[in-house]
Amino acid sequence: MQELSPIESSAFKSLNEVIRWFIDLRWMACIGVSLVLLFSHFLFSFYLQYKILAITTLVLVLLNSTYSYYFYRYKKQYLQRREIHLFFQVQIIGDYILLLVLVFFSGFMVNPLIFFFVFHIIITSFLFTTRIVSLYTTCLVFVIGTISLLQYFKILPVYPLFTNNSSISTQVMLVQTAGFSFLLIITAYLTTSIINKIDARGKQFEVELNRYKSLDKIKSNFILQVTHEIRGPLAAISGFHEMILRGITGEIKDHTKEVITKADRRTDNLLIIIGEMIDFAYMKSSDDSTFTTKELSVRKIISENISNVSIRAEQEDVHLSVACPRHLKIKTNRDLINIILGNLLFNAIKYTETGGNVSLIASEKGHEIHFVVEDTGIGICDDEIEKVFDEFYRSRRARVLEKDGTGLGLSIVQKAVNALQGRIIVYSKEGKGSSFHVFLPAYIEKGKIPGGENAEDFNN
Amino acid sequence: MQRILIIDDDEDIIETVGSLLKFEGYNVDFATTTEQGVEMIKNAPPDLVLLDIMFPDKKTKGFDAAGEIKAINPNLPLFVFTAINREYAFDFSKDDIKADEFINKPVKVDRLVEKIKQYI
Repeated sequence: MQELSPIESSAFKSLNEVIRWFIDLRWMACIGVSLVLLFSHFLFSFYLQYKILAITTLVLVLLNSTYSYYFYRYKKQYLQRREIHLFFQVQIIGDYILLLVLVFFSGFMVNPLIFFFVFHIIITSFLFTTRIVSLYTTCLVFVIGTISLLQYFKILPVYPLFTNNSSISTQVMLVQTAGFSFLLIITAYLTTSIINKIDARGKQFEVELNRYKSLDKIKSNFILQVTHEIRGPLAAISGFHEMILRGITGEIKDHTKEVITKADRRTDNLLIIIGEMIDFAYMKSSDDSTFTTKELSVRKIISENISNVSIRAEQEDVHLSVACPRHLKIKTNRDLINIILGNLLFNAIKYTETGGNVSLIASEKGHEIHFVVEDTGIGICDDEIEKVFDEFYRSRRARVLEKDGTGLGLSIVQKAVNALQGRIIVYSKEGKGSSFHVFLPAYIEKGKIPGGENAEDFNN
Repeated sequence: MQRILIIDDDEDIIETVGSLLKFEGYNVDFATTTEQGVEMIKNAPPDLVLLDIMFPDKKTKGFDAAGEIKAINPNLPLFVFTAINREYAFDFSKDDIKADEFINKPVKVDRLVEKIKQYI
């Protein structure tokens, strides 16, 4: 079977429902016609071709039974598009012929049932191309017209609906046929043009859908590219700084050393900022995108994150300590947990003055893993504590202590915590330090990154 | 003297990391393409390999090369050395990559040496 686009396949699936609907409608038609025949025969004593009409109805019943047999038999199988179309064609041609026979033997143009042809044309236009609809309509108009003419020239007999035939002349019937043919053609034209418009819109949606998909890919590639393009040169700059500082390029004066150290520090800050911005962009643009999880050793994650910040801690003369049970495991998303721990640790070090302490403690609490990142840093004052998770928010003291910063770190942390179905609580005392408590479920199968704007606030 | 092979398309990285490692007492070789690097590993096996991931001809070329290098010698310590620190940027898991360590660029030489000493 050929690969179908999502929209096509949904239309394809609904075709099955249409067949079922057809069968149901046809049963109703069978019952209706039978009832009318019975009533007119026994109550009103119309003069009708009961035998032929009864046979026609019987044929309809048999055909419909066959259709439903095939329908239920092949329902579970995926039929080829062509097979389904063929099935429709057979049904529709059968319906046309039976309806024609039915009305022909019961007054033809005088019989109101003839208007069911309009209904048939509409259904046909929903299912087939304009070309096939035109073909059907032309054939129908031709057959009806021919019958009318033949009746007019008395070649074909007229089977009247009422016993008194004299009131209906074949001339009137001819005019009615012309009008009816016109109605059929107009119906076919209108419905096919409406359907074509709807189809065109559907195709447009499909094009848009594909465009969004490729945009998503472009976005991922963009992140990859930006990370590489910006970090690559910065890595080289940082390396050259280190070469100078280590004296590989020759002896350097103290002042030069001081300047290069400052330059290197700003370069490191820039790297952090770029990292935050990329994570932020990822969290923002991945609304409702699912992520996978893996079983990870908490100890390993912690040691990775600690080693990422250890140099910085050394530079700032901040003492790092860690505590984590050896066999603690967590099934979660690695990127997101790294975002959480990395940012919290980095913040703690950044806002702790020389000689201070930063600790990361992990423990098991029921079905949750409890992480605490504690520092003896500058703390957050009471009126600001509610805003620290806001995007781009930096506290007054933070801005004084460290010039560089996006104010995105904690907002990213909170988004990541929400995505991992956890919660984060912050306790802080100005001048004494802060502690961030993160509770993450020990086991999640997969998850979604929730919409950025409506993310719940867990801070208190 | 232990020999470290750096495979990276960025010559500045080779120069900086290379000279810093030399300063720390290592012998440093380099290759600017993975093909060249793999060839060098075949001909004269180093003691440790530092491998970049993104190359101009293919964004995840380093991953392929990691597999090739580990196929030649599974015991050769291999550090993936990349500016990309997130799995989401790659669309696949670090666990699928045959590397002993992931080092994020830039790295201070002290930390790099610390990691190297765990292997050689």
